[in-house]
Amino acid sequence: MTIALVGSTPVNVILEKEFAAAQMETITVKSNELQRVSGHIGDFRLQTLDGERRAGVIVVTEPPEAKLPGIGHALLDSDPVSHPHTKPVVLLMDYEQESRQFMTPVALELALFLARRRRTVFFLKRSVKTAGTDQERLYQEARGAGVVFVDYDQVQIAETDQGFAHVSAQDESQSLEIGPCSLIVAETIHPGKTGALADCLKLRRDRWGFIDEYKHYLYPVMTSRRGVYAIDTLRACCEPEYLEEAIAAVIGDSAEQLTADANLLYVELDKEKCAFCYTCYRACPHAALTPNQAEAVMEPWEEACFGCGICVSMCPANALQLTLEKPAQGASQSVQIFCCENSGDTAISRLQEDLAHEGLTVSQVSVTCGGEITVERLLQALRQYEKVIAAVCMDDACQHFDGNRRACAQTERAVSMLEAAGLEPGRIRFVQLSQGMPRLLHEEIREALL
Amino acid sequence: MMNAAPDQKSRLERLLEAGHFTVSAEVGPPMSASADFVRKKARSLVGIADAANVTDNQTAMVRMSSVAASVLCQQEGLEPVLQMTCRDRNRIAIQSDLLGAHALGLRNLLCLSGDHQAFGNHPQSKNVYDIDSIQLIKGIRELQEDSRFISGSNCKNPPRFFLGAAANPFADPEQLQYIRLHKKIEAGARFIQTQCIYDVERFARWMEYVRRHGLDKKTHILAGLLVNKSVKSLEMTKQVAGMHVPDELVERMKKASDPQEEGVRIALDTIKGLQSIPGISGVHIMAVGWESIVPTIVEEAGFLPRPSLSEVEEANA
Amino acid sequence: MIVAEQKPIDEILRTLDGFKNVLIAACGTCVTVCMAGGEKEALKLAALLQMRDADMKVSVVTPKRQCDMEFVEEILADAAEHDVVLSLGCGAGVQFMSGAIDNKLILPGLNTKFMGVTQDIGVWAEMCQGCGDCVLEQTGGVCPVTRCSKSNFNGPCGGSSDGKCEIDTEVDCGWQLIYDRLEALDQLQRLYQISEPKDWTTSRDGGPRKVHKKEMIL
Repeated sequence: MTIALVGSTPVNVILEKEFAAAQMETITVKSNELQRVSGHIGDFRLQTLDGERRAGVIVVTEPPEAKLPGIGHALLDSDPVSHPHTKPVVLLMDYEQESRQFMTPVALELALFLARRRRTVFFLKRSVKTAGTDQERLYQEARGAGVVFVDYDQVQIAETDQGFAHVSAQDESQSLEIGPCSLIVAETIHPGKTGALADCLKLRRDRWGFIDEYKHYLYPVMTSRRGVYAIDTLRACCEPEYLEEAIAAVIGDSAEQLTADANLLYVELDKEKCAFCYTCYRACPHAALTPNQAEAVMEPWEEACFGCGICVSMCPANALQLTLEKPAQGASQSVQIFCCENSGDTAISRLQEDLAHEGLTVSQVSVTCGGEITVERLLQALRQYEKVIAAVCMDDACQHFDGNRRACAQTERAVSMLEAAGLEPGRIRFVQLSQGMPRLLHEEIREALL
Repeated sequence: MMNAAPDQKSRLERLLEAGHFTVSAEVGPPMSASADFVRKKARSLVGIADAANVTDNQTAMVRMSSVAASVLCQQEGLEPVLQMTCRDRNRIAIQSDLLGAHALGLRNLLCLSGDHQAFGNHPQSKNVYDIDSIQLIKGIRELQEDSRFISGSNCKNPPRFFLGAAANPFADPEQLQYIRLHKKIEAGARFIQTQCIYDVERFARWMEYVRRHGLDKKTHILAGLLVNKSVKSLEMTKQVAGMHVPDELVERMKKASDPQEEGVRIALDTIKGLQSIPGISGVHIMAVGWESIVPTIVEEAGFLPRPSLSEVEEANA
Repeated sequence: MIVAEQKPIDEILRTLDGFKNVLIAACGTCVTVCMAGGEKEALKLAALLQMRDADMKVSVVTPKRQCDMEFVEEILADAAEHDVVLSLGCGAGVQFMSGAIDNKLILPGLNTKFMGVTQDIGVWAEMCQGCGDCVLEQTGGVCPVTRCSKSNFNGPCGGSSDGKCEIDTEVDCGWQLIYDRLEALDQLQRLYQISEPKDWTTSRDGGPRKVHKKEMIL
């Protein structure tokens, strides 16, 4: 199979070698030469300035624009490493407007380095995620070495007469003043060329404009489109382990996607009902629906479809259906629980013993994504069950971009309908969780049953 | 009682034609049927203001009709400027009301779009906006000059009003606002009352445009100003769409030990600033909720005594 | 497209009070696209009604349009089997069905709002009031009747501020849009001439309207 590497970076050389070792041929397409991409996994057609290139899988290697955090630059011209040892060093990680995925390890390493040289180090962060990569270890070590981590909502920096910074940070409950010190401010990361590339490849972007790979720390190379992967080559430069992981993920996932039974779950369209309203086309996070102008109907593409069900729930004409609806498990007559397979499903499987021990039974329905949960499904379930729970992924963790938020909106509508009809709104419950949060679900179930 | 003869020009028109710097004020009709309320307000302005605008259901609150309140003012010896908005009446009702207004002796007319009813105490009402303010000015001018109603049909004894319009020197898009000013004057506005001025510098730039295009020669520019008695009232003014209140002014008011006195001082400073700008024919003082301060302002600005009509007639002769 | 929104659930339920046998008629065209009265909405209502009263008989039909006889004929038999029809069509659909289905009460399930366009998933905006005498050639393709809150013909009122309307900072000033568009097209001179009062006889003000396309009528 051929892999198209989109973007040319020094990392491409390594990728070519590694993919060749896995019996995969690579071609490179410069991102500014790519004009249009059609097709699906196994058969992508890339329209370039040189004509059409074909590939089974696409790997984006174009990096976002970024600069490492400078040492002693930005606000003040001082070098914290050579600076008097009595002064504290403040690292300011202000990522309100930016993706925060890449910066943290670099800053953490620097904090650790300084702390080990007996410097006083404050690490100011608005929101830093440490899960899933090497960051957790660095974080623990830095804490052990005496780095003070401070979460803040607001920060102010003033210059003192001596040319040092004065930092004051506030969060909801407290404020912190740090006197004259050396300040290290993180530089920004921008989507750069990846913005236009994402549009060309029909990839969803996060609210900062990045291809969602840069957000999905849980799924290091996934994008919203099946068969298109993105490798953060910036990160790969300083995290060799990441690159290894990424290459293995591309090879593993594409092989899995190309097996015969990977396409069992997809959407089907009832042409009679389709109003050709483009709602599914706009809502599908995976670019799996294309308009068929000749027949004036949408056409779902099973090879591109992840079966997340978002289009099914959004279609106003009731024209879309999933090929498979997983049957309910468990013999409860009182509670039915819809579980997203990326969160609720695993969480509940970890609870089975506890539930059995307490004699609690629920009827469990697995869904590919919370986006599949609709008002009518919730209401239908309530005709049979006393209570219904929707258990979907945490914010920012949805593999299908926004299925969790859609589930939330659908649940709210269903609850408001119950209220308006004079029925008990508490019969529908909604919970967001991760695979590792079975206890939260346990409580939900207990409350629903008792 | 001071009823004007059918062909007699209004006091405001005559003063402006004679080149006097006019002072006008406002009388907001009550949200009641109380004639005394209007009479009392009118009496307090006699000899202070040359004329007073009588608002037409201002901010879309139901108030006594502006025609009725104007007549009450007239009876007290205060010359009214009848305001007419396009919000509540179609072209039939507007023309009908204006025929009646003229018959009752009213001679000044200010044509406005009117605040949208979403602001007022009847947001549920259906709005009309059959014609817009420029179409209204043009329609009434043609009624007066050509004895034809807006529809084109004949009118035997047409009314004759001194026609005016409003302009906002601070609204955007700037060029479109200028186009609109040109259109209002072309339509027949003989005087223009401006939106309240807090930023004299910015207003001066607007006046430069007006003079450059000779508009101050085609119409009379009456500069509007509002008197605030508290920081709160100034801040509320700042919130109103189309109002431009510089932050420095809010700060100045906040620092003042006596905000009422400071409000008066700000108004007087503004008047002084306005008097140094060429091309302005008068000031229009609004003191929403603080009408009693108008005499003080007029006096301290050195506008008293107001010219009597006989002086004007003599000057004209 | 005609844009509508569903009536509040409690209002719909009140109008259905006392009926045990309800046909919900969705409509497969405009109101499906604006997510107010398509089959999906009908199924939601049906589920709610049955949940509320398990004995209630509720059926759903979705004719392609409720404003043409051929489509309404398809559901006549269904209508006959039910006590009442809840129409999720626009106001025109409800009235057409009322005329076509004898002896049956047709209840409206939607509030018909305007003629508009899709701005985003779940967001529609009003664009046309059907005044019967289009002036868009004068205003750069932005309708002053619909998109100015006061239907001004000669520019914005004094309440326009930062490109927004005085009634709500969420609403664009229609005249700012007209200005921007004409400026981009280098046609601002169109705004210098005073627009005369509009003749509203072509609008609803001239009474209920009909269109006759003569060459199609025998």
